[in-house]
Amino acid sequence: MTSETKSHEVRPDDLTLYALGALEGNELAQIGKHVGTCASCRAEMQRINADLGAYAMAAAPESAPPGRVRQRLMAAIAREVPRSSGRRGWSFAFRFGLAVLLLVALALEWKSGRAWREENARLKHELWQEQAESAQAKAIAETIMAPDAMKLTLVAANAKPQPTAHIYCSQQKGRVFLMANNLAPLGPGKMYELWLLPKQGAPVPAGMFQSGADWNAHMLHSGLPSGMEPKGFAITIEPAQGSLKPSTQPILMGTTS
Amino acid sequence: MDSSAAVKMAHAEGDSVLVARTRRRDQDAFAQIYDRYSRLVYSIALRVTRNASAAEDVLHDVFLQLWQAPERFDAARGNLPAWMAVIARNRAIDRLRQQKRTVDPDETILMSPTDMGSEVERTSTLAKIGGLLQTMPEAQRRAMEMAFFDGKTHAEIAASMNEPLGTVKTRIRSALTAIRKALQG
Repeated sequence: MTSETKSHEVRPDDLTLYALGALEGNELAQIGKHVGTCASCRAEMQRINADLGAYAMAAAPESAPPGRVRQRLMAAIAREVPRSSGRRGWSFAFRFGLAVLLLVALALEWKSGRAWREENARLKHELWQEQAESAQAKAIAETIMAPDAMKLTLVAANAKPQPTAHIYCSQQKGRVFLMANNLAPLGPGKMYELWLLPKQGAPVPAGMFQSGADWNAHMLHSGLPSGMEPKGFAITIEPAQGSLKPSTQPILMGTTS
Repeated sequence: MDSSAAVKMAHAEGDSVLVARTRRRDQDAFAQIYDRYSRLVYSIALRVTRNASAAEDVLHDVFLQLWQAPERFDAARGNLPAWMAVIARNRAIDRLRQQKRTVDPDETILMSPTDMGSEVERTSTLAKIGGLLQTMPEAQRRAMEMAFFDGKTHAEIAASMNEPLGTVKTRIRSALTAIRKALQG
């Protein structure tokens, strides 16, 4: 470590390279550690990133993206928006079509004997089952997302409410969804950060979030590294700009086993 | 307030209002942000990856991230196009390196003395920086391009340019200092 680093100062040259991700090895670790604890260096990092943003805008030759990206993106976000009760999407159309086909099949069945009747009974049962499951999923989603929804965690009588978090993680989709309760809202400059604890290696950032005035929080994070099997998850309190690795002790932690 | 200041304020408010609406899951507001800045994000991603398909993926990822975590952009402290430009570059570099970056400035809030959210201001500022880049010494411009667009480390740049590490550091820092002066001027 240089004497400048020890004296709470980092050379502007090094800070610029750090912002660019152009440092390696010890230099990267030392500057990163210092920036994590030095407010003036973090402020300078913000200014450097603003300068880099302006440079990028001026230096990159302008090109127009194909329209298909917009279509793909809007379709992706539409899938994430909770549907209102008045909207009927593809799912409804699909089920309606399936029901029509079923009715046609039932008419044919009348003429085609017992095998057809049994097959169609099976299909009908599957359709009912799917509709029942769909209705249940819809009811759950509507309850959770309702404007007046209350979130309660029941604990032993007279016990002080404890922070809790529920994690739903899909390696295949590279997503993790978090629902937390009884988490105190943090002051300015701080955020909660979720970490994936892999079976091997260092914790991996899995999204940052704030807790609301009701002390509840939820977050959907995409882009988990593929092929990284989680051993568990942990939540720490970090600076709002995030950390390279957990800088505080976990306030919540759980394992998959 | 003169007319340019009025335009500036109206457009600046536009970005922050659109982000606020996006936080409330307003797809129309999000689409407006896309229409305003997709060209910028795609251009940077294409410059870094030099591959149209990869640039499309970066464009998709950057905007999907904005949709999923719009709270990471603090409209009161930064400007949206500069924030998206840096994220686009970082995502594209991630793709080049095929790994998660050790430093992730995605979560860094940008502060800028210039309101790049105003079309008028942005055009004027970018013209100034464009002129600066044209007159910048070749070695300095090249070092900056290798660091920013090619994602090379300072050691790789020094080896490529056959120059001492210290010289490369100074070149990059000087380039950025000149850009900051142009932003402030």
